[in-house]
Amino acid sequence: MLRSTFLGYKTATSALKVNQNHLDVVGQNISNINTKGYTRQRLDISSLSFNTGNMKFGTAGVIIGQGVEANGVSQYRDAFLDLRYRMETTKLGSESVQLEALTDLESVLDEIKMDKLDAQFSDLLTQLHSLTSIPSDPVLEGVVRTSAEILTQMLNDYSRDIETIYEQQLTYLKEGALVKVNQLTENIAKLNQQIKESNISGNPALELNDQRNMLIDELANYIDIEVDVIPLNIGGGKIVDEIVIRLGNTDFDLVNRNFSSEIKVNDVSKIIEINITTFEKDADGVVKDSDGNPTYNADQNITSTIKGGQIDGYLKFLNGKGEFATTDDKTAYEKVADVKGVQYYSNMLDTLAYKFADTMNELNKTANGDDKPLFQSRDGSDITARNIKIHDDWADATGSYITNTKETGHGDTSGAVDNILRMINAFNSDYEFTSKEGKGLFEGTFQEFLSYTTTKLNLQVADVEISHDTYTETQFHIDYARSSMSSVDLNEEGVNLLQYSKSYNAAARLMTTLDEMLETLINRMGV
Amino acid sequence: MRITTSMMSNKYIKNLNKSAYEMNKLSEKVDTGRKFSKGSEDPVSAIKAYKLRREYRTTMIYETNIRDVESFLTSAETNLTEIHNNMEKVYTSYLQGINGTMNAETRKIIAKELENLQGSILTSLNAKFEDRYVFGGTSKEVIPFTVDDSGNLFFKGLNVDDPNDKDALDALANDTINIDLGLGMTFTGTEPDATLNTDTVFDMSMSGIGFMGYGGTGDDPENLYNLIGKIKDELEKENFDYNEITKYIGKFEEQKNQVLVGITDIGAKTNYLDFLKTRNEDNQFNLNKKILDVEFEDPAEAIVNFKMQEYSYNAALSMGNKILQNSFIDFMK
Repeated sequence: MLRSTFLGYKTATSALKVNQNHLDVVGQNISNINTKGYTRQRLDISSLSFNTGNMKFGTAGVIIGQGVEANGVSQYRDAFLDLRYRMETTKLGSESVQLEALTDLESVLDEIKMDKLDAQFSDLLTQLHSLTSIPSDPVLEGVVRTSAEILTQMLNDYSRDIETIYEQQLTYLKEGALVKVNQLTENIAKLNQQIKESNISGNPALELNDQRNMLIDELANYIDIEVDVIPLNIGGGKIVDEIVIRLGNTDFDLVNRNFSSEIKVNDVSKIIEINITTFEKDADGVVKDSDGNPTYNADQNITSTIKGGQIDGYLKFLNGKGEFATTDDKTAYEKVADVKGVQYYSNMLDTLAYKFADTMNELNKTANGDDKPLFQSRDGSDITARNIKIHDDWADATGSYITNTKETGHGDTSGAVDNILRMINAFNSDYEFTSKEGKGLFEGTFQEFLSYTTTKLNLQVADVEISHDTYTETQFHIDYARSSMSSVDLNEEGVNLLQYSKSYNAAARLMTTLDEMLETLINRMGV
Repeated sequence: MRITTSMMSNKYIKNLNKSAYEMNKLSEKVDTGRKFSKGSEDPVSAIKAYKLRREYRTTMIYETNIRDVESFLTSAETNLTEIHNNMEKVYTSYLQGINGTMNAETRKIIAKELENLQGSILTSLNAKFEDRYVFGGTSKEVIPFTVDDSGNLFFKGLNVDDPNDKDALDALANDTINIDLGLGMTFTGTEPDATLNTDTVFDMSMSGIGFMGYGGTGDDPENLYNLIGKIKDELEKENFDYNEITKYIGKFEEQKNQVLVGITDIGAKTNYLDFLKTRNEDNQFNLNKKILDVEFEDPAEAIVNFKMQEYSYNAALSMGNKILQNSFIDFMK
């Protein structure tokens, strides 16, 4: 076959061009070595040959290719690693929220470093003991009263602190996590649109992909998701990928192509609910969109379907009631009885306050059985840790108020101590603690019940800490593997730099050689 | 596996952070001397710690209670000895009084002396310790022992030698003032009908009528104070009859021994208290030791651990420069 005179130039040019492209990609990689979420890029190239086969005649002579061609730029990325990374991120999100919130709660109840409620119970006991040596003494009774008052105030403080933590975490959920999720889904939807448009016009939009992947990674931290990639044939043999992000194991779309749903909190009752506003879809799962405005469905409750992410962590902490869960609670939130959150611990304290006050009030009844309560609630309702206070009658009493004896002996019995012994004994007696629904919680003394509650929380924190550490470690390893595939390495880029510049030089050399050949052929031959 | 620059630095940062975290934790142990500063760091030890602390606090309570009872008994002993001394004086005076050489005038003087002794005995009977009547049982507000115009002794408003009040006096004589000294106080039954198991508490009451006697009649009293009164009356009589007085002195001597018994009783109780005190102190010591074991770190060990961690932290730091130093780029020409 006849070779055209300037054929070599074309080959050399393609080589120069492709090597220039290579160097540009290296440049892009090195530039972005520290860019968060950046995926290492490569130039996809193939060798070029314009020779077409001829069915009629055999080809004479050798056929040589005409250079190299750059087909496009692509990323080193493994979708499976992304999937695993997001799964771990989701678990980690839930645990980290719980860990933080439970640690806050622990700092209220824990008295390892500082004597608090348990010590105050012991103090009251000490004061009652001192009353056995001088019973019915207004001064000593005053000391007992002060001790009891501090005890009630501590219970109030505990309760208030717990309430504050509850409010705080609810705010984090409402104004932090939820807002963030809605922002993320909105931005992902926008990116979907941009990427699709770019893809149609032939731009791979790798940097936008990186951005979207990062947003999806982040979204996975807040809520458990499943990402579906749906290929769309845009004609001309071209296919672009569209993305739908669903709430894990459900059909609720958080993002459907260029549309995003909105999630909100419904906190009218003590069980926090999460609702989602989705849109109407056609049979293929595409959003029905006549004029850019989809039709929205009524809000749907997804509280029980959320299985991971920070939102799950918040729900568990805010809603978890353990043994205190009622049937209604279970309808609102499936996991309510399985997890112990802030409401469990505040209910435990309430149970303690109620039982303690009730027992002491009963014991302080006079010999004739007349009421002479030591404790009451602030608002007349059942006594809780929040509303317990010493009874007004006791607070206002100027003389002796504590019933020192229940024996009806002759004459002056103000020195008898039998009933004070009963009160002392109440601190050492085992009681059955039950929830309002009558579910058994614990059997033991007041202080043991308190320790039980505290150590239950201690154990839970330790437990969450372990899973948190495990997930962090796993996540790090998956990220490590992902980095191994996707991150830029200086050594590699340095070698590439050297290699491509050498190749570039070689291509230039080819050009010079061809030039010299033509010089010989045209100017010197036959002279 | 392909290792990249950022992987190396990320892992390095992670490990460095871990090392710093450990060091911080260990330095906290050195600073506070505690094995753990939150329950979640060691929940099992936390459970133990709470229990041990409670037990320790209880021993503190018992320590105070034992001391209080001890002081009470000391006071009771002093007063009882005083009463006993006065009884001896009564007896001496009596011996003087019945001496045949005495005339009515001198007997009257002796009778006056007996009356004075009666007064001091009454004072001793109404002795107070920390606001509580030592021999008054459950009395605290109202003075327990009183004397009416005709010189009869009353306890809590009851004539001690009135047969009609015998049952009430029996009950009062057996009045108890129990105190929890760590004998494992328990009640039987459930409130409000629970009854105290008296063998699990310490009874600190010293019934005045117990050792003074009660339950006689106006003419034939059992009570020491009333007996002295009778003896005094006899001595005062113009026609003093030796036979009349001897029937009282017989009873007097008999009942006087009860005072002595009371004193020995206190001695026995004090010994028992000493035993309880030692036991409680041992308990306290053991609990303290256990608390130290459970909650507190051996300082030497804590410092050694910290030093080790510091060493590995420094090693990690110096590695940083080496790891993050060179790449191929640095050797390119």
